[in-house]
Amino acid sequence: MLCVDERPGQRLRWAMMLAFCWLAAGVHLWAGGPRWVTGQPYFTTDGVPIVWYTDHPLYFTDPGDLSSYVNHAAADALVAAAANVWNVPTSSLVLGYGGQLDEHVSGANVYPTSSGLVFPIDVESTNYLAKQIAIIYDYDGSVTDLLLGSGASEPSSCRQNAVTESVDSIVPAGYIQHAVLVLNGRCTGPAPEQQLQMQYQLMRAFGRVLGLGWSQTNDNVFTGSPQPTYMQAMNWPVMHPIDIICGPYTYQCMPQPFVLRADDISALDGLYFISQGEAPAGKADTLLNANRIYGRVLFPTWQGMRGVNVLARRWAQYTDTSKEEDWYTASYVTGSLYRRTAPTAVTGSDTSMTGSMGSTYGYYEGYYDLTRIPMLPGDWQNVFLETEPINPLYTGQYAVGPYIDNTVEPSGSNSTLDAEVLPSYRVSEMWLSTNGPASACNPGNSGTETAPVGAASSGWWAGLLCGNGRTAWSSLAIKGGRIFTVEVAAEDEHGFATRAKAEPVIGLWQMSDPTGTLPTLGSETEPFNSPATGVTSLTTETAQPVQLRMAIADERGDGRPDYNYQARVLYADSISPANVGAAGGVVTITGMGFRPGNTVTVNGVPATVTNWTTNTITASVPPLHDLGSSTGIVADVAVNDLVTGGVAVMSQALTYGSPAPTLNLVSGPSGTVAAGQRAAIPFAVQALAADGVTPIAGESIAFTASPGSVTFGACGLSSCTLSTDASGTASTTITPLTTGSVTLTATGSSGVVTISFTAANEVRSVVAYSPVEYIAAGAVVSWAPAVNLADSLGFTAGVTVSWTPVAGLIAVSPGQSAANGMGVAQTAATAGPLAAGAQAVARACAWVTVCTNFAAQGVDASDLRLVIVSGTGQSVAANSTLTPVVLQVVDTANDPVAGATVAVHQTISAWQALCPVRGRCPVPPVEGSSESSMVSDASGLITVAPIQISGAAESTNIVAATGTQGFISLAIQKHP
Amino acid sequence: MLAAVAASGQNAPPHTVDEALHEMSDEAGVIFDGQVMAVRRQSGENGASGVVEVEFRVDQAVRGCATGEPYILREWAGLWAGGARRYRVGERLLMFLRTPSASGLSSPVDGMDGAVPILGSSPLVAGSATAQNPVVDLRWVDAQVFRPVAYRVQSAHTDHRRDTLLPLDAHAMARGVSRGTEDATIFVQSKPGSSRGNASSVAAQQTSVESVIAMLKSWQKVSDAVR
Repeated sequence: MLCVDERPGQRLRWAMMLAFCWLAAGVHLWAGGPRWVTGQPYFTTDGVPIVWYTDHPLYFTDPGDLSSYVNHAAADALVAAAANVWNVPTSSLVLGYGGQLDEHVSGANVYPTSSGLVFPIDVESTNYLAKQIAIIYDYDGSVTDLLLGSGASEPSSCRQNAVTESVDSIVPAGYIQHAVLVLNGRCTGPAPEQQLQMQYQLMRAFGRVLGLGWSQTNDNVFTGSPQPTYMQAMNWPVMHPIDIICGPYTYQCMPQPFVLRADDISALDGLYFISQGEAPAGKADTLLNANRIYGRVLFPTWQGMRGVNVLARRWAQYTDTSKEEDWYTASYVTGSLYRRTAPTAVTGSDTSMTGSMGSTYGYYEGYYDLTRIPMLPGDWQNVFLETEPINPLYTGQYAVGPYIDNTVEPSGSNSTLDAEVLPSYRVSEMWLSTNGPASACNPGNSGTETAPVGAASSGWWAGLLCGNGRTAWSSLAIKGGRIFTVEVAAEDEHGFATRAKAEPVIGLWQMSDPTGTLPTLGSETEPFNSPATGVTSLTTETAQPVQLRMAIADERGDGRPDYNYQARVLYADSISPANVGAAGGVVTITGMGFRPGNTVTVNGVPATVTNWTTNTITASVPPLHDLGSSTGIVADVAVNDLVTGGVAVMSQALTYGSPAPTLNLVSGPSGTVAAGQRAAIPFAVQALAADGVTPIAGESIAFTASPGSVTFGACGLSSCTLSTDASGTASTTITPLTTGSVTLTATGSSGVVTISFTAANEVRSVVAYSPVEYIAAGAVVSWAPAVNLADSLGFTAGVTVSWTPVAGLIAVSPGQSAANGMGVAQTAATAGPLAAGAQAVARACAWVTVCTNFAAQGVDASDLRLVIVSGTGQSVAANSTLTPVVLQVVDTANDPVAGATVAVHQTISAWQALCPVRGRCPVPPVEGSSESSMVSDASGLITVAPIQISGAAESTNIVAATGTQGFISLAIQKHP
Repeated sequence: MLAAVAASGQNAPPHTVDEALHEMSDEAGVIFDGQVMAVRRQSGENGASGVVEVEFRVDQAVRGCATGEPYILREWAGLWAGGARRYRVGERLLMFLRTPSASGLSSPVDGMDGAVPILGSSPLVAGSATAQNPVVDLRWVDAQVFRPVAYRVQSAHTDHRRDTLLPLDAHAMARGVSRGTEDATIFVQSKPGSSRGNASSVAAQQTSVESVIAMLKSWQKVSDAVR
């Protein structure tokens, strides 16, 4: 019979649904959220919720008063009210009052021993056949204090310690035999709310004692998001994990706090089920007017998905969608019957009660069971099934479902299924999945214990812990004397680091270790111990070279398609060079698992890292002095990942040379040095002690030259022995005596220093640009004499030139000038008047001794001549302009003559066409004239500006004369 | 009601996480940040209930113990009944413990809420050079903080399949409140921790170990001065 339908109009889709149903009569059911479940080997049954050994457990109350405000009778009434809540018609459980304990229990008859507290005999679990549940009225709080510590009974702690519960006997057959409940009398008082609060807490404690787990149903009532409705609060189970604290009394924070919700009843009925037709008097079949839906939540791989909260929501028959209930009626966490922890190679097996909880039967892995969904009015109803994750706060003492220490987020998003459930007693099995879960279980080659795969050469690799008990096995060779770190980051199916999927643990063995043993080299069984989110880290040291076998597993022995991980081995294998001097140096570390940001230290002293790859780190290691050592050492080199806390150490891997006294070069000639001259830079050395800092005074230093020959200025000899001064320094000037290669050596007890240079002869020259300045006899002339400096071994820029008159009428100013960058220096000179043939001489000297003369010489007037330099032959248009004519005064040797007076006569005549072939050429009229006198400059030049008529065609005739024979004439014209 | 509360000695609930921590600090005789090194179960003999010894390495002592020295917590084995695993070897916790009673037994203040997890918080990002300090996970402490209860009107229907919330009517909400919560203190107010359990609330409820320890030590000084 098909019991479900699927509505095509639903936006939320179902990946898979399989349904069948049968009548529940005679079927053994497990339902609700059991607090404990049996499993091998501790228990003799497997996958069975742990319940009381009898359907009729009795509680026995303390014969004393609970407090001065609550006498014995009132206390019994309070207990009865709390207990009777759990007596519901559809459950086989009958929680009843059995009578009184034999004595009032207090600090007077509960006494400590070295192995715990001893209670009166009839409170002990050994008395379970007679008294199953002992309820102690802790009048003065002394018992509570003994159990929980000093001050635990203080009224300020009543929200936590009003009721202390302990189920102290669960037998391997899978049954609860005994429990103790301690009511703290100090939490009662004059306010009736105090007693109601205790009743509320006792009610919840009874639920735990009966074997119920916490439940997450309508959790928005707790979270406040979205804001709950009243009906959602009315369906927020009594067995919610954490109270809302809206005031001093938490029972006031939910409506009708002393009424079990449908979810509480479903859970209770799941533990204490009444099959159809088997209800005793006063009871009813569990599924009378109710439905049961069970099934599995599955990955696409058909593996069950644990830790998914499956919730049921109802919709009455023949009503429109507005009548769908907006609260959940019941819930169940998948996998609650499945093995909670399984053995792993890293953690080993746990045969205790804790380690045995749950079945290994695969069907139960994604199993859920909504035992009793009460029916709305009518003969059938719709039930929607929805999925959601467990609130991450519900762990440990508040755990909901099979993942106790940490919640696991479902893979994929929440989904919804519409199930049309038929009448009373109907049981349906429905398989479902979330939306978009991890769809593949392909861990790749993750090795085996006997054949681990080699670790990735980069030290980084990704993997998947898929399939229960999956362990990834790797191998890696590690040198002796190494510390290395294995890190595993848990990731979700999208690659994000998370604490809500796998809980990685790590184990290390030698490859030669027998299989099946617990890790021999190291293990980390506490997940997420690293400072980095979702990372488990294990740091281990090897004394000898070892071939490692490495295992990565889930701490719970779990394995799912959404248990991704990123693994990394941070390992420093070698360093090159392995020897450095006392000054340190640059080294390259080779290994794996490196990444940018990793730091390097040498004996704890930071090095400067300049480059990273996954396999190499380049760093400049500090000098020996920074390591606090004055002698050579072998140091540890560490690579640190400050994000994860990972470290890789190479012990005794880097050798620093022993520090010794040293002789160090301070200064010395280099390159080419002038032979025969004292070198500008002295040869100086400094002797330092082994610490590299303290100078050595009085050490004999022998200075020698070979090859080559020099004079050491300190002693004037070709070799010399000097003592170092207080600064440890010995210094001498050097004068090379021969040309060619020269090597100088300074030798002392602290060391030897050698330098080399080339000695060469130096050629220097000073050359006047114009050695003789010719001037007209009798004239006084000023000019700028210049000289060019040259030096075969060096630059001349800046060399000072001294200018001095030597003979005759000549003056120079300034007397000194510096050569420019071209090696040219100049000054200003004034000479004359000189007689014809007479000279005035001056001198320019550089480097003191390298000189040249220059002179001014008188030129007789009869030797003056004129030559045209430019401007002759001009013939331009009338509207143009005639350019100046440049003439030069020279002597008979064609040397320019300065200071010569030149008379210039110009006339302008009208423009005239060519003369006729025959007949007289007409004389044009003179339209203008001028006369002037000019003096030739230092270059003998004069510039004559032609007179001219603007815009008119004309001829300009120029006649110039100097001395007695210097004459020139020319004509230039502007034509029409 | 307030008079009754005062007479009972029960505290009004804390209104902030700081207040909650302060109350826990006041109740604790031993406070430290430490790591679980060993858990040893000692069966009861001659009718004794048994003891579980939890050995801690004290990383930072605040009160009642010494930094660097081991601290051994002895708990009544009844708290471990049913195979409960209250502590895991290797986990790091900020412990608020009661002073041991005459029995030598003790337990965390406020149940296991007094064993506050300490977590690593650095993102595993290539290139990150430094780690962030570990943080104290205060989400469970935050759950002890006062939170008003308010219900929206029942007729406001949440379409679960469409995952939307229909508009609310303020008057209808008030009616719903008066009808449904005769005992509850009603405020229409959202609470900072209203996102309890979701990822966004985690960051808001995590504080560096150093700041929490510093705060606890400052409170210790104040309380010592009062004494």
